[in-house]
Amino acid sequence: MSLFGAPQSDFDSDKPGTPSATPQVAKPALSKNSPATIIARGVRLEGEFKSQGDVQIEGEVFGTVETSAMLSIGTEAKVKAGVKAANAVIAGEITGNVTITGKLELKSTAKITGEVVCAVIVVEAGAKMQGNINCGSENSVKPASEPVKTEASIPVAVKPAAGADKSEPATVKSS
Amino acid sequence: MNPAYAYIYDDFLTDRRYQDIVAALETRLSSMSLDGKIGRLALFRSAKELVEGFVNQGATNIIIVGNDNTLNKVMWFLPDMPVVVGYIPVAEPADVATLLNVPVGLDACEAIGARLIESLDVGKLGDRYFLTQAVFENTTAKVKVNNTYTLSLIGGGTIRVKNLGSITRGRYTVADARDGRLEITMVPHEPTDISSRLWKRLGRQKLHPTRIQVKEAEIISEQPIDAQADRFVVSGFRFPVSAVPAKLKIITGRMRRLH
Repeated sequence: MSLFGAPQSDFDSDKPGTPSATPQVAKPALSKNSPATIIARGVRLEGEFKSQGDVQIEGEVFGTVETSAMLSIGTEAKVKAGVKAANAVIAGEITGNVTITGKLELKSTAKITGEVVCAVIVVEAGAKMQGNINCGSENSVKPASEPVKTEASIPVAVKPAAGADKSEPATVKSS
Repeated sequence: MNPAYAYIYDDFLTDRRYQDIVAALETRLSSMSLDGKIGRLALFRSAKELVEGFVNQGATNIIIVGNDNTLNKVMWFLPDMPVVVGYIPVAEPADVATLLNVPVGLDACEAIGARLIESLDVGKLGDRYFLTQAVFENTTAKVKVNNTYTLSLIGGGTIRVKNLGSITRGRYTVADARDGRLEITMVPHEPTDISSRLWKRLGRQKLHPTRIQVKEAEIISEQPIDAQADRFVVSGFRFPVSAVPAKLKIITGRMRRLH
């Protein structure tokens, strides 16, 4: 892809934050061979966006976002859209349904309002979620027609990261 | 004289300071049996008619002698001609020569002689071809892709539609002219407040341009805007852009062949 062997992409998809809650699970890396799409800060995307390669969002998105590769949503991103991806690292704000066929990683700054469907989930302390979660079940790779509702009063505790403050466990609340 | 070769000289080469290099070029090309007919661009002479004349006389290799601006003067029509294009840069700017890995000056003759030909995509802005990029500066225009989504710069900025890797702040950015796609980058206006400038100076604020790859798109503006395709200015409200795959046969340098 590159003309002179120059790096294909130099963006940092993995912002430094608290260490991963489940260190034994490898963090999905952006694939090197596919072109990356970046929606940067100061840019608004409206409509149905589909991609075969990695997608990084730092700006505003309204509509739907779909990729068969890695989706990375930055801390300042504002996404009011349905989101589908193979794997995702989310550090920003999403209002809409999130469907991840592989691993979903929520950073401490993440805020999701909507239904979440994924195969594997990693949640850092401080991440906020409002909505239904369908994770790890057989139906989780497809958008569930009748998602399993979590009890509003029962917080879903996620192991805090090694360096994270243990007095403040991450919680997942449903609306 | 080799009838398959024709040379297009830019008019600035008539300047006395280029006489030595031009004479040396002609001697070197002659020694390689690559000497051909010579046409000179001039203010009121049609470059297209000049090239068409050479093609009608049997030239199959059109070699542009000058700099990037010379190349720009002929690139808008050359992809439609049944010729192989060569480039001998003898003066700056010669950024395209760098992209093609063709050395500047006399050594470019070796690249012409080696005749390593690549088929490159060209971009199209409206009905005008461009090799490197089309630039829309200081605009609030939107980019509409496949009628499915639009991208807009919230506070305005610069939109670049790149075909062949082009230059941003002295560094080459990547845009492969063999993938049948254009790379669109959108850079918002830089924030002018003190804190943003301070963070930037400290290197803490990493700004990456928006980047997408498309086969075709449309740049739409409510106000009339200027677009520079290979530094040639076009004005309008709507600019369809597309990649035309493998449209231009061009002689490249040896090292580029390796990538």
